[in-house]
Amino acid sequence: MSSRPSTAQRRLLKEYRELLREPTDGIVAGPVDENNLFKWNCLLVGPPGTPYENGVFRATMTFPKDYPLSPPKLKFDSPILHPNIYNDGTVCISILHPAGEDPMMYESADERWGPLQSIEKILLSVCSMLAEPNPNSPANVDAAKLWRDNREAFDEIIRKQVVKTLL
Amino acid sequence: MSDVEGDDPEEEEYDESFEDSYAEDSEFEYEDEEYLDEDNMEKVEVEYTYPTSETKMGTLTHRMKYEPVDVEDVQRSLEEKVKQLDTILQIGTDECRILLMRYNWNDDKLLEDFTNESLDKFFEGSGLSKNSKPVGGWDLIEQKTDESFECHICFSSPSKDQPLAVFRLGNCDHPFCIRCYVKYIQEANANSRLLIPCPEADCGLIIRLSELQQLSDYGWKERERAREEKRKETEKQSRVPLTEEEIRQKYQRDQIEAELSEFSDLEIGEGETGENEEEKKVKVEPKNKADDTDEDPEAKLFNFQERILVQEREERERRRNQTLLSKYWFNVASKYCSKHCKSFKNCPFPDCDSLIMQQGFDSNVVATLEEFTKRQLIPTVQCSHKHEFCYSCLKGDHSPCPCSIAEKWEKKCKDDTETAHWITANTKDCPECSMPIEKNGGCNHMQCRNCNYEFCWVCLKDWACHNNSYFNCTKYVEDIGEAKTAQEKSRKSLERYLFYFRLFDNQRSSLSKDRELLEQFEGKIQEMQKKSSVSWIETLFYRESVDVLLQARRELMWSYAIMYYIDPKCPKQLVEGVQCTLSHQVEKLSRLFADTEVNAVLQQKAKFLNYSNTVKKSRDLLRETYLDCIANGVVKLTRK
Repeated sequence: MSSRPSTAQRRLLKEYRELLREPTDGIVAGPVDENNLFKWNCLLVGPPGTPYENGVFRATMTFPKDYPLSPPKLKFDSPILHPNIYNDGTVCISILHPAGEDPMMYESADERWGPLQSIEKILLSVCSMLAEPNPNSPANVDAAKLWRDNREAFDEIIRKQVVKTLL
Repeated sequence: MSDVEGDDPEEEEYDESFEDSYAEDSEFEYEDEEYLDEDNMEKVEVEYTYPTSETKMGTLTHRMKYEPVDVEDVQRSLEEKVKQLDTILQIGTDECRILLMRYNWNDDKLLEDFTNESLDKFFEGSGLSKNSKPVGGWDLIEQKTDESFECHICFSSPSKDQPLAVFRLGNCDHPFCIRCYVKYIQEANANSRLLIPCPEADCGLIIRLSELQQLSDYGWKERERAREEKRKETEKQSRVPLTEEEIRQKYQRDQIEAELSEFSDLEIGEGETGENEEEKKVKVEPKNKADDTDEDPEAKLFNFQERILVQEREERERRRNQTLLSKYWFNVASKYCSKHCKSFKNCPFPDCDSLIMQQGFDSNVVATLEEFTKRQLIPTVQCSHKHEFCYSCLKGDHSPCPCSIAEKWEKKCKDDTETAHWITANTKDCPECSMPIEKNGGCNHMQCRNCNYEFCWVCLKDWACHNNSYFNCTKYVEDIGEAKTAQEKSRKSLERYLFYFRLFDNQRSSLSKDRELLEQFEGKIQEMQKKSSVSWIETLFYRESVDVLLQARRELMWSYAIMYYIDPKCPKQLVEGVQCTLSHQVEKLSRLFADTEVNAVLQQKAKFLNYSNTVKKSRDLLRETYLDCIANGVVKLTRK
């Protein structure tokens, strides 16, 4: 008999079930391995109307032991050019940051991590981030520069990356 | 004369005992007529940094007001502030506290906004409810039995036979299971967040202190209960041999516990602290008992005081981390201190966590710390554990040496250590028989074991010429005209540096040796106190003398550092004279300490008082002289 699951495990299992029961368009996510709920594989479909359209991007989500008090980490496995994604694929988005130390930060509490955020909400936020990059706090400065100065070249690179994701 | 006068209770006692002994002992002679001078006896209620507002030479100087506090004091003063605001606003202390935190405790700005904005809008923007309900009883904690309820954090639901305890804030309707709530607060506490909102993102209400109190009490009770159960179980287990089924159950339980501990280190840590309390007490006691009969008193006496300090600190830390509420309050107070870092500073001594609260300046010219130190004044403060340090540079007390000079000197000492160490070796040869001698006490009056020749450690001349005149060996003879070539100049400069460095270093090593010696003494005196019926107050004079001696040595030490930086063209006879006097008296007191057997300490009381008073007076004179000379430009600090 296996031991009682921890809060994090119970919660992750529950979220997985919810995602299976009511799948959201453009998002597929689930644990890599039934025995380890703390690592998930995700597939994100590029939002239509953007250069990422039609692309299917693979990403890995890793959960800390004290999830949902601390946020998970999200990293793209497919190469993807975006001002808010580091070169190694790590995503920099406010929802993955723990609530700030600054008391005044609370006004944007719904944009930051809290125990009531969910995997689905994170992935949806990432999708909207793909559609609308935030150039004010770029993780990838080169990408942000290209995005701002030469949108055509930027889009071209992405379209090539999209083709690669489909191969 | 100082404008704020009052009597320090401790000082009063000391004075009485001093005068008593004076009355009893008719043979008592005192060397310095002035030592009973009223100046010496005055004490101030608010603590001030040195110097007094007017020095003997008439220069008006400036003092910094301060008060040694600890985090709990800050907590109390903040609570006072909250109450004050509540009497004006009448909206409840909980609400006032949140508003103050939001405004960084700036009540003026708060009141301005409060009157300018509409109340509803103001409350909403601050995470407070418009129609707030007071928190009372246990109404925030509910035992849910409704199976359709689900905690949105951990997704657990109550079952038929097991109700789920849930908690919600008084003014919103977002219940979560109490375990999750406690962990949520713990996480916020660990990140020292002060304004903790309801976990529901759209809610935005900030948890109030009385709500936190309930949660904290609940968590505390639960832990107590769990501990009690665990204790009973272990008792049961130890009595009856386990059946196979029981062993399996125990294994499962252990596994759960291991997992839980993985989940939340903090809670397990907290749970254990209470338990440790008793264990610790038990542990400490045999230690203390062992102390009395310990074979090797020196090793343990050496850090006797240090150990007490560490124990006290651990105890305080334990208390602060005990409950959610105490940890929260600690965060509030320490954040307040770090936000107001100009008026609060931590004691830099290791294992000391007391604070100094700066309370402005006793001057109409100086208003900031920068201006204060610019005038070459030293804001020496003393924390509640009697650690003396400079409020400006946070190093150990270096008066009468200004911060900038002290820093330069220390840097120079570091740079030139190689040479200086080579030259100032640990031993000196006896000037009479050339026997190598190592100095083992603080006193400069040396006596060769080999030939019984008495000499001065500083100048290596016969001690006889030191006895009744000043210490001429601490005066450096300048001859500027002779330094002609660059080589000679640099040699002269090095010589000059080494001269003062030796004095400085000598004083430093004397200081540490005296300290060692006195710490050993301290233990012996305590022993004596236990054996005979000598009261604490009667031996107080001894401790005071120790403080005086150590402080005087330190000041003397730093005064040599200044001497190096004084422009050679300036007249420095005055400061040197004062220095010599102090040096002479310090050696006398040090000698008295070295010569007095522990048993004879009480008989020597008058002498101790007499000597230390003289030292105190000379020390004050030294400080004043230096300050006056620097302030009036009699001596200039020019060297780089």
